[in-house]
Amino acid sequence: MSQSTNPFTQFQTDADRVTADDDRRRFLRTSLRGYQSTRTATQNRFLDYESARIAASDAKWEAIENLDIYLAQFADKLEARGATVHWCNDSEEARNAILEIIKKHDAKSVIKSKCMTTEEIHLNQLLEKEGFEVVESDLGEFIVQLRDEAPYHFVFPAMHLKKEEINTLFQEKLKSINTNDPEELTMVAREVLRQKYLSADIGISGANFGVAETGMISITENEGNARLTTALPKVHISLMGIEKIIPRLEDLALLLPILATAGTGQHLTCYNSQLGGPRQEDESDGPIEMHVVLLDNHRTRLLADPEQRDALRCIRCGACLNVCPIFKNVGGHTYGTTYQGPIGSVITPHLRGLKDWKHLSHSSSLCGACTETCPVKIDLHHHLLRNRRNAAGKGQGGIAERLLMLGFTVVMRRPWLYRLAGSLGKVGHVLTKPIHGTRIDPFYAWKKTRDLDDPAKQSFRQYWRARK
Amino acid sequence: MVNVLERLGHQVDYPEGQTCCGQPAFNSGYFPEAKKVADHFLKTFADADLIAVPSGSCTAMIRKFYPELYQDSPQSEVVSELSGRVFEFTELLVNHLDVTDVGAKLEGTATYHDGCHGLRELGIQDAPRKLLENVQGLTLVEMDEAQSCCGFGGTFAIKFPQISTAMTQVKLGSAAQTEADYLISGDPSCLMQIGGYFSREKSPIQCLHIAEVLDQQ
Amino acid sequence: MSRDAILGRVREALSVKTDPHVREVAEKSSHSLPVLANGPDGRTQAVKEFLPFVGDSLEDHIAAFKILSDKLQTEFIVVPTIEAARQAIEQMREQHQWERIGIHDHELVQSCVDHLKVEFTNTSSNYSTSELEKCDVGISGCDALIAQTASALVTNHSAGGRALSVLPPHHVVVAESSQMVTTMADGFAIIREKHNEKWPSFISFITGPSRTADIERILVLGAHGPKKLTIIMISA
Repeated sequence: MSQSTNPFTQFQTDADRVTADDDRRRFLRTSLRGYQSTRTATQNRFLDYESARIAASDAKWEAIENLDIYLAQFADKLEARGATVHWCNDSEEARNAILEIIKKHDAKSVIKSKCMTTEEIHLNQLLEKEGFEVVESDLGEFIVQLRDEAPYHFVFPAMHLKKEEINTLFQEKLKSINTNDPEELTMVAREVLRQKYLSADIGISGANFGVAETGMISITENEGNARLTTALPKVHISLMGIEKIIPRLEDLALLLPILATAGTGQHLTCYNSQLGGPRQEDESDGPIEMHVVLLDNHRTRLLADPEQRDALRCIRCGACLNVCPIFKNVGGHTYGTTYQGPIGSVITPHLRGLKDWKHLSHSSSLCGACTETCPVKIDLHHHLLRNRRNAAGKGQGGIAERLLMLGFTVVMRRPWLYRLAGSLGKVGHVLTKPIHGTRIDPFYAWKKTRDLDDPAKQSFRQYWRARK
Repeated sequence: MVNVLERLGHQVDYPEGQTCCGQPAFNSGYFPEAKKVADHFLKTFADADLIAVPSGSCTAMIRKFYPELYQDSPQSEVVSELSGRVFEFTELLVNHLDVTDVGAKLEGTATYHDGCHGLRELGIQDAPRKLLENVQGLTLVEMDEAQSCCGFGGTFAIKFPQISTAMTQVKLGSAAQTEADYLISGDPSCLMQIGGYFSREKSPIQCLHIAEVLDQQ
Repeated sequence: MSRDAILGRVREALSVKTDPHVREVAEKSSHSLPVLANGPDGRTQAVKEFLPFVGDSLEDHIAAFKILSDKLQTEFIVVPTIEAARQAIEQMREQHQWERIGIHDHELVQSCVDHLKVEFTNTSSNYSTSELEKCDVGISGCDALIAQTASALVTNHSAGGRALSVLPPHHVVVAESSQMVTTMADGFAIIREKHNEKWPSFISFITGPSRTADIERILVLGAHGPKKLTIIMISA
């Protein structure tokens, strides 16, 4: 990732680089095509996928529109079962809460299972600075951590890497054998991480859902790393955004298959675990302490937007990334955000400010593939449009754009001007011939890669008149 | 489009005062500006029984987004009534006029590109294919990911030319694989994007609007 | 307090009702909205009506469970009696040369393994994690088998804690055919009834052996959890 401070400039530079890398783009496309075909097959097994999708999104609506009630219920239930709930307004509070727990237990090493929210608050950087060993246990996360990179995709963190690159990485960092075989590479990671589990004092996980009714978190995974993270270390910390709440336990019976289908194309992921509290009196293992860290970090700002609050229903399946032509061509790192793809482009301006992140809403052809695929029916591409409107309304588009739009309106409301502009365009086209193809050509951005037909000799109106 | 509709026995008028539906401003986020242009559209087309549009994108703007623009305005009823009279060309033929064969002829193989607005905002998918299947001499071959965006997206194509072009590059790959002579679409803006790129890359595939195809005799 | 601050902001945010237009657009669908009863019943109904159909009879459920198990690479064995289950486990011991087995206090498990001449680690009371880690297999019970998803539903009561079913490289579940239910919602209902609101701290739906596809989308079994999952169902 480039070190540029301006997110827009960084986006453009990175997009230039990735779009020029045909090989990597082909690799991504092949991978996502595999996702598409398994997902379609799984979805087709549903008796009525569309209704299942509506019922699932309905459960999330109910939670979001009554979030104060369900959030309080969730916390009270959890605490009644011996867990400690930490309410954190922002990243800093969450980092400090977690750091304090770790320090209190005099811990040395921390094992983590996949949790995008820890990426959002930049937890690893802080813990490492404080001298703790932090190990990501999800294979994909482990790989990107070794490369000192951010996850490429919030469900498939290492999808951009080829097995040869992982081989090189493992040889370099883990002194492993030379192999390109995914199975052997996975076993190398398994051995390394096994030892980390057995010695870790603290396990940090995320949560896919928080069940208000029973005071449980629910974690979805395939590898078993989250199960080990929440079973072996003596302290379990779970970090989750406040929007993860769902009303009832039975909602999971619908949401978990939907999440798996949309996320990976599986009918259900391998382990779906509900954890409510630390080890209880009549239980033989499990952590002696469970901490749930609830994070706002501007989610309430998004909640306050009556048009876009439905984005808080997101279950982070990543389907919108998988079908997004922008994501497929610029890759995950280009976004420069914790949450990539369409959902990231929608929510990042709310979480981190519209001014710096509005370009993500403009970097879309508004094709709507994301909205079509979203299992909880978030109005994604129209929200991009609403972000554009909000930015324009605040004058963030700049004076030139505003003038252009003013000109557009003036011309389009006056047919004679429209016709005149058409004729002038033709004249202009002839007059500007000498500069065509050069950088001062007004159509340079277009013509660099695409031809543009000369204006038609006869306008449709002229044709129409002649025809009559 | 006019020729085809007249051949089918319909009377077609072209209001000469017409300009643009306002989508460029709308998609850039300039809603009040777009609404001013929309006002002009409403005036110009107030008397039409049916409005035929040779573009899924413009149709979507009028049918789907005008109601949003006029949500809290006194004209909201006029707008919702008007949006019921606006049809994209192929849906007008197939769904409204019940025509799937317009008696067109064109020799060769073609592949169809779905414009995103027509497809996802309006649900147009079968209509153009039914019409093309009935064109004499024409064989329709589906390309890989026919429904993925061509990369145009209005100002997006200018603001992010590298991404926009990369998307069209993928489209060319899919189209080339079918070995089709023609790439047909229902949206002039997609065709400007695809055609511009194909021509620059010296692809032999000819890009045609579906109305041009249906007009061939 | 941050709790009050956050809940206050949530309430303030929600004081403005969701834009009905947006909600309608977000939910637009050619399908009519399913009318669901609120509460667990509504979800249970949705799961039955919308998710994959797996039949009503036990035979249908077993057949569906088998098809998905094959796909998941779960070894699903149906045996007629406990005696047959004992034999199946004995055969596995021989084939895989088990030397140490993780078990727990569970009637069915005990009666399936008490004849084996191996070392046992029992996880029902305080046990050593490193000892469990050395086990060749963990054998546990379960609360239910879910036909719709080919899952074994476990809690720390039915499966000897949190680790027995995930730490050893092979997990064997023993179950009875009476435990077969249709959906995950049915599974939750069983736990709800059994524990009557005093929920176990750990519940998990185990659906196939541990897996990853993080490297080039190529499936590898045994990422962190068991490489092998065997479900033995005794049909009474």
